[in-house]
Amino acid sequence: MNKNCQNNFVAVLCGLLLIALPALGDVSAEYKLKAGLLFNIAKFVEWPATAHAYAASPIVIGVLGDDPFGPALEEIVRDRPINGRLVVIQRARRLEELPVCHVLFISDSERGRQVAILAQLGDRPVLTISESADFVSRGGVIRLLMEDQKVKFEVNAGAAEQAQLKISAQLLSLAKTVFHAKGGNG
Amino acid sequence: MRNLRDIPIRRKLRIIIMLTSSVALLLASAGFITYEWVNFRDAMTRNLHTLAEVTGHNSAAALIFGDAKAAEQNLAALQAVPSIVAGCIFTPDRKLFASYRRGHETAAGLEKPISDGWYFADGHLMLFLPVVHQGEGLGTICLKSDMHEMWDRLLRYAGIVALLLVAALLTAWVLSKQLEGVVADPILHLVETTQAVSARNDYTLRADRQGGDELGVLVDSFNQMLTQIQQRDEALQRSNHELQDFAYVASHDLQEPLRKIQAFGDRLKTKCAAALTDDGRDYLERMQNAASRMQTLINDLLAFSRVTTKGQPFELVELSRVAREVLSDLEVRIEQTGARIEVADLPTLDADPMQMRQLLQNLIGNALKFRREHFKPLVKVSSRPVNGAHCELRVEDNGIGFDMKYLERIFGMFQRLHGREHYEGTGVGLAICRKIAERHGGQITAESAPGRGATFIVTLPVHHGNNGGQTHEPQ
Repeated sequence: MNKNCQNNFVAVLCGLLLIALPALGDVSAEYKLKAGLLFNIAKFVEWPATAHAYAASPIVIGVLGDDPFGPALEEIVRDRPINGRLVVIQRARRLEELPVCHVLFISDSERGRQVAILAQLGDRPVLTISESADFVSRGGVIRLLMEDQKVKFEVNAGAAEQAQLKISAQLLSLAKTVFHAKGGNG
Repeated sequence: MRNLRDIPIRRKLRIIIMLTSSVALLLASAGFITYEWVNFRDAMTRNLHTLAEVTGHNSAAALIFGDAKAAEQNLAALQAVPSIVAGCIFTPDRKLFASYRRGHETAAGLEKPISDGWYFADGHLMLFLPVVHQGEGLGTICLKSDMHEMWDRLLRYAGIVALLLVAALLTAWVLSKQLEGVVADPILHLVETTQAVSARNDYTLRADRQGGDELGVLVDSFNQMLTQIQQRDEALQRSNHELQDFAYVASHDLQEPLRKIQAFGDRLKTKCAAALTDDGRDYLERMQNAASRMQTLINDLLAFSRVTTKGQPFELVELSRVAREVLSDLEVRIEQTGARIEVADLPTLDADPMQMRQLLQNLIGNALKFRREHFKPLVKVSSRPVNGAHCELRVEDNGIGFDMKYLERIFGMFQRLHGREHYEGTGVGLAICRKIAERHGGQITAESAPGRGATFIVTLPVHHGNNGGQTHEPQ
């Protein structure tokens, strides 16, 4: 984490110096990478037909809690539809405030309410993503983590199945670890 | 092509058949192999395209997540396809992302990816295909395949084609051997028949017709011509024989009354001369002259007809010896005329000895007879070989000569260019010479100009077959 802090520091310094790009400067390189990963993961996930309101309805990525990505997510999804569907970002403090999401990023700020949130989602076809260490074992679908300065991810295939999500084998083959435990009570 | 014209028809047919079938087979084989080659190239490209598509598709996530290791694992799966020697994946900015190489093979040719397509180079097929995921270009996958499989297959095809070619040519050879007879046999038979006809002068021979095609028509026409020739030949021989018989019989039978006329004329002259007046004796004298001339005519006529009727079989005749005998016969006349006779080396040939003697005697005798006044006759007898099988006999004099427009006439029967009062003789000598030459299968001609001497040229075959010396006996 030391290095990340340094990176953060450098990034902040850069942001201060490059006043022309203050918005970008707010986000660390790590979260830019994570934003990209989040978007790319969505590309290899198939939702059940019931998850989409109509044929060209957008894919909604919800960010719950403190948003670590800043504008990075918007920049990545801009003009890059997935399977012909536009991708939109929604942010909220509480799950109830969010519309129906396809991807739900649960920020570390919601760490304490993780289990409750997952329980609240139940079997709904939502691809839950978080950074907290025990997220996957608690029934979340994907956890993002840093290792050797690379962003990696873990997948709980059982949880995905429960949420009726089909995760591409290609994606699974790239995952650091794949769990098969059914989520909800881990 | 000239050589082709000179070889026998049987072989010509065979060569034509074999040449035609080989060319046709070779063309067909070339077409077949070319078709296979193009087909196989297409299939190979298609297969490689499919492989690239599958591998590219499987590597989409690896490209998206920048996981080069996963991409290399994907590429490594290509080792299941032995023909693929190398594969690379490039990022959209043309940087090498992942690569695979079989053994010591190189990825040469893949370093600079083109966006899409394939080409053949250095015995390899290079294929480039963009990796697209959900409409987004992620990079380019490049595969390099060697052509061993294709060459192996082509080689196998070439082997099969060569085997087929040999088998087909062998079959064609056997078939042509069987079938060429259909064309060649009637022609060869016709050739044999024509040769037999001309060699034996046998016009009774006929060619067998073997079919109703043009060759059959040819054989029919040939047989018809033979029939016509045979009929004409028979008619000609018949009339010729009749004429010869007539001449022989006539001259023979004419001698009897003539001898009586001469005998009683002589008796009249010796026993009754005193009882005759001067006029009577003159008439008797003239009658006896005429009778003696008639005797000469009949003798010459007999000599002429004897050339064919009393000819002797041919034997080897030394012309030099014959010439010496002739000169000794003519000795008196040679002395009288003061002539010089030069005889060169003369050949030995197959001929009737008596007739050769007659021939030389007539020609040299003529040379002495038709001499120019105040000129001593000079006669040269020489010979030279012609065309190997013939020899040319020349009798050259410095006599009065003749105009070439009479060339044909002088060899005619009883033909004379000069009055009896100037030169004795009946005009049969040269006719006999011609007949002798013709009986020997030769010919006679002459070159001359008035006052410039004359050269008589006899061309005779040196050897004769079994049918030499044919004679015709009068019935």
